[in-house]
Amino acid sequence: MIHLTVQQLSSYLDGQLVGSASDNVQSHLAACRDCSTRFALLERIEAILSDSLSIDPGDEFFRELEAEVGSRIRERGQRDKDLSTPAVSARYLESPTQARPANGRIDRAPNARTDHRPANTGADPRVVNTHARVSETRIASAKHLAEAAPPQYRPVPKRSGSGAWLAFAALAVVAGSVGVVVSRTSFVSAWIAPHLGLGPEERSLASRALSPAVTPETTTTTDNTPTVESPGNPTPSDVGSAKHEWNPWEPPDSHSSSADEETAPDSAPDANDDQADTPEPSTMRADEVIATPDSSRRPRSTASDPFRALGTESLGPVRAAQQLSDMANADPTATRFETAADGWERALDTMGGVPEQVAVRQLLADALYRAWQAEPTRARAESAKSAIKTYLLFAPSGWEREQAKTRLAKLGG
Amino acid sequence: MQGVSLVYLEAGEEIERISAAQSGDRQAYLALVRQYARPLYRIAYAMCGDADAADLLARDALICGWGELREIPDSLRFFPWILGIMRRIHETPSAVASSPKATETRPLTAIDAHGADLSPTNREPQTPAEPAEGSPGDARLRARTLASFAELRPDQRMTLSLRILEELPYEQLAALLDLSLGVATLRLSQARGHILSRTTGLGGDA
Repeated sequence: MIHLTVQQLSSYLDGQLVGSASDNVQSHLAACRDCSTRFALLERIEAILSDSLSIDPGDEFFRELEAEVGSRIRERGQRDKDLSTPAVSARYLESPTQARPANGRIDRAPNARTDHRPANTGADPRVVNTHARVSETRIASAKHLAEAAPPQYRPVPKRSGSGAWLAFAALAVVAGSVGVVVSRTSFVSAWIAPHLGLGPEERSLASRALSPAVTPETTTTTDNTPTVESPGNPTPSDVGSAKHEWNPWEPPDSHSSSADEETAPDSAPDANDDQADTPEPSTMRADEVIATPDSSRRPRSTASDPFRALGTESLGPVRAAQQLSDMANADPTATRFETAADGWERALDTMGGVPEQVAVRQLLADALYRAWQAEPTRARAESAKSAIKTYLLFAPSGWEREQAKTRLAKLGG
Repeated sequence: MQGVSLVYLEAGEEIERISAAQSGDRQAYLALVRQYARPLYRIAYAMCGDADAADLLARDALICGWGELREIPDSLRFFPWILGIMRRIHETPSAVASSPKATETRPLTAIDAHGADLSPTNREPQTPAEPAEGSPGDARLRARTLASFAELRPDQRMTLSLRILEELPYEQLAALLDLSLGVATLRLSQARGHILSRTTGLGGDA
């Protein structure tokens, strides 16, 4: 005997079979013990799943959910208003593949649609199990709009290479060259060195200018990692500062206190040594990914750049967010960190389901936490807690996860 | 089954709210949230198998939805669209692989066997399954069913959840998931076939 397939059983269970198909299955079930047993099992499975998957946490839960969503989008809107930092071009903060009109939103031709909106029939506004697709009226309306109205997404006018752009590029080249030349002078280097982690040559210049007695020499280890050796008798502070400033993966000074107190248990005592011995860790920590004055000099697309595989659509917002983080780290105020957080949120919006989303979530949480650190308020604590909790949902085990947990505990979450 | 099936807003009203929300009207968006949060949460729970994770997933999707609302296609209603966002977030490979809740893969078995208290305000750490009411055979069937449900691919899980929880006809299911009717039917039968294969022999005297 040929038994019924699972598809037949499944469709029959859902009442999707009609006419002779349904009759055939019914008569087969009456005659075949195997199939009737399987069908009965399927019915029991259905009942178990229906019972187990149904969850109703209660009205209060959904009120809280709505309030929290409202609060988050309000904060987001507020940050949108604050996002007028001149250093970041607004075009990086928009999706590069989708043009937006000057009013900042895509023209869905609401007026035209209003004209074609189906009249209110006075029927019950809530329709149970309405078809998921839009109604025929709405489709007809959309078709009409497609013919009559301007395109929904207005294309960006293609810009040809203009003289202004060429002039701007030439100026940028000249300014960059001047900057390099000036930064090579000893006095400027000496001034910059304590503030920025510079390359070996610059550091050497700066050190010579500051203290001729202690002349660090730059050597290269077998793995071509520049290190500093002090041939004289440097003070501990010299050694410490040299190591601190030379380690490209070291968090910036502004982060050191928080980074130290939040270091994972297994990395506390010899973290610096580890970092000194390991020139390029396999993964970047949040403090490292957030652009520091040092990292702003480095090309972003290094081997450890977690975003190097991103497409252009996401990369622009990510780089913009990194730039905002640079600025926040250089001048750590709550507003700047919140602006950076907003940048990360925008980046997140463009990323879809890519794996790099986890790193962005981490950086978002980090920025909100630092905003709270800079100026603790209840609202900031809630934002940071929320972002950290979301990150923890995705976070792999490791140092970053532990750090996030520590931060959450500090926030009282 | 608890709760009610998915209830859509009347199309004209929904269009108005979406347009208003696109113009920055948060209250209009929150009205949409109010309307669809329950079914969204139910599906999130079916996807995650954990009340906490479902909470985060649904919330994340709704917040993300606000940011992307300008890009909602005219041909889609809000719920399928936000469901797509939620599915996208959930199917993030790293999220699935690295989420502690996902890797522990004890969704539903742990929660459900306990039976009941899934209220977010009373979320205790989930403990291993206790036998549910009924015979040991029933408990085994229940546990095996839930375990095999957790083994389904996310798309299969979502399809089956929508069918079971929202009781959507196949046509609506296909439209909601942007599938052809045949693919939706196939997905459902594959999901059920998998569970059936894992539970065969546990049906007792069914």
